[in-house]
Amino acid sequence: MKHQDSDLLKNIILFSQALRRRKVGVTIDNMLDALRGISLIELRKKEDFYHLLRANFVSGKEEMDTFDELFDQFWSFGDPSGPFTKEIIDEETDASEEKEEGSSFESKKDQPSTKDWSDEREESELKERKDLPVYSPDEILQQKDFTHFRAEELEKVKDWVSIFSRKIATYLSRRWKRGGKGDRLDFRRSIRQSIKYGGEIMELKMKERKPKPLRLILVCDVSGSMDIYSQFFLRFMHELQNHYPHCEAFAFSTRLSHITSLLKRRRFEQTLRLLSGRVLDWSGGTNIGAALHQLHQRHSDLFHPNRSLFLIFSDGWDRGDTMLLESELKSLKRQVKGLIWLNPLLGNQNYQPLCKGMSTALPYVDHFLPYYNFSSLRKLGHLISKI
Amino acid sequence: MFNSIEEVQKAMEEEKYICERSLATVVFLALKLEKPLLLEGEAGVGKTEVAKVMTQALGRRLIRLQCYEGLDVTAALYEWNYPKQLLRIKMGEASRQPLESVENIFSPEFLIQRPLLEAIQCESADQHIVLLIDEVDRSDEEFEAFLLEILSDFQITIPEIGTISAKHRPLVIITSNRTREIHDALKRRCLYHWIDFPPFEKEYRIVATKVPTIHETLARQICSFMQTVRGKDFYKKPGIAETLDWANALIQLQKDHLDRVAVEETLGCILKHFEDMKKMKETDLASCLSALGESG
Repeated sequence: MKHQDSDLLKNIILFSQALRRRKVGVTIDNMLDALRGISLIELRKKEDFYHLLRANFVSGKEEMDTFDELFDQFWSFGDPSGPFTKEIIDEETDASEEKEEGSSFESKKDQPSTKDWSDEREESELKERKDLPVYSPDEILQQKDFTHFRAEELEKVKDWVSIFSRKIATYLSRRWKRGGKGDRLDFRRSIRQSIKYGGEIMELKMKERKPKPLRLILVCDVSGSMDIYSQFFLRFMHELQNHYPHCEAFAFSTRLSHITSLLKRRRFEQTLRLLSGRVLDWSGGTNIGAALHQLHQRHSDLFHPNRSLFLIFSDGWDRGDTMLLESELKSLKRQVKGLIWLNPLLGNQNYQPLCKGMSTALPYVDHFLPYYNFSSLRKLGHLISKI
Repeated sequence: MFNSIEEVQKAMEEEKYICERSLATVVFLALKLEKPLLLEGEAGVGKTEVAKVMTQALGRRLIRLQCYEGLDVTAALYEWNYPKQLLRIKMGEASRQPLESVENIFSPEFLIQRPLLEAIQCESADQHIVLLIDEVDRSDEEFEAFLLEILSDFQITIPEIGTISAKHRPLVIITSNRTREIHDALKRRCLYHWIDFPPFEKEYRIVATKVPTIHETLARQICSFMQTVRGKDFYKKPGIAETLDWANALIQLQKDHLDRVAVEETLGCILKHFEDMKKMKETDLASCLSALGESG
């Protein structure tokens, strides 16, 4: 009996490790609670055992599929003390492969260039990309376009983007401290102060109403036509997310993914890896209308006419329904304080927003800005500091 | 207190809450492991109801904290009773006994308990508590930090007094509609459960339990209609709360089956957006009604 118990313990630990490798962040506390729970349920009932582990190890709907998949592999025998060990071994090899992937990524870091990013994509995706609009260097005249940096300059640009994103985050945070001397009496401090005068309130302490922070909703187009530029915008989103908490980040091509949690507290390289694994349709076609529709349906509470700022990063090459795009933008405009559209193609002097999606969207956009080089980022910062 | 998952499930059903074994399991574990339970799911699937039902089933008292943007410590944890403090100061003056120290007026006597402190401070075992923290995704990120201390150690620190720890841990149920991500640290301290829209059979049982006067055919029609509606593309998909509202409305209107007129008259019970209602009337109503005919 004892022997079985220790097997079960070992297997639960192995299982939680397998989960962690698949990015389900099981903590030691979660583990201990799950183990405490074992004595409370009837182990013979696989269903209860499943719910015990799931409730403890999973902390979001998106982790459930991973959990279910691993659970089925791992605990495929009727008796929970005897898992399907072959899978564990498979998992181990997976993990070592992942490590190798990681190290190859590190070595690439030594000579970064925008080319490397696209090299990481799979062959099939590359094939698909050929069918999508590609911009010849002739179209882009500006010297300092993000796509034109040589490999050795790129590291520096990445730093610039990081530094500037942090600056924008400070502009946004500063909104907290602005305001006059305060309009409300701070009873707590006034009374505490009065103690030293024997309870006589000599001076009134005031406090100011904390202004509600501006909520930023960042939406990034990661479809094929945006490939290289979106890397820069993702970096911007990543930095902003980690320095300004009131951000919600989304990525879309044909469908929308909520990526806030993937951006938080991770190194950018790690984030990119996670993103390409999790965001469906990465570098697929574009359907802006449908993406906005999804955003509306699932996250309508994010919008507030006075307190939310909507930033969309896309070239407007829309393959979806323009009617839908128009109706979505129309209602979106009513629900946010400002709608900023960043377009990487706007850097091209000859660029005219003629494509279907962009021309539909323009009447509803408050600020239409380029985002293709460092100075456009500066422009964005300037704009945000004024809103 | 319950000794098995079956007992929890039975008790919930006695309180007219139909639930799967999975939900009963996590509720049972939340009670036994004394961990908060985070319930997520679409609006109107009965997340808040779990707390109410458990309050009844356990014979406890419910303390509810409704979250909103700008919810702060003074509204959720505690506030000093300033008028009382001022009076105490004036009394001191009148009786020529001025205050010697802060402790005189910053003591528990001058404290106003807000929901979280009240839940922590319950004194005796016979007034056990169910603490419902409703729609936590509406609160600010800062507020989640306060919750962290309370939910991990069941204690509250008040600078003037010190740390107050719970003598009896309440059953804590937190609900979220997932409008924004809840902080990972908070989520990891909770047991997690996702409540989905109910399948047909479950929804039928819920309607039959909650609206006992309903005619069987009507109940089946309502549920099958709702299943079809949820499969369509609407801004807000109707939950069980809407199903029950609708069933009651149809009974009040003395309908015994669903037809085009009945649905159109009562559409406001299930769809709450102008655009959704318009879409329903113009495009989806016919297909929803015909699906009804097929299923019998």
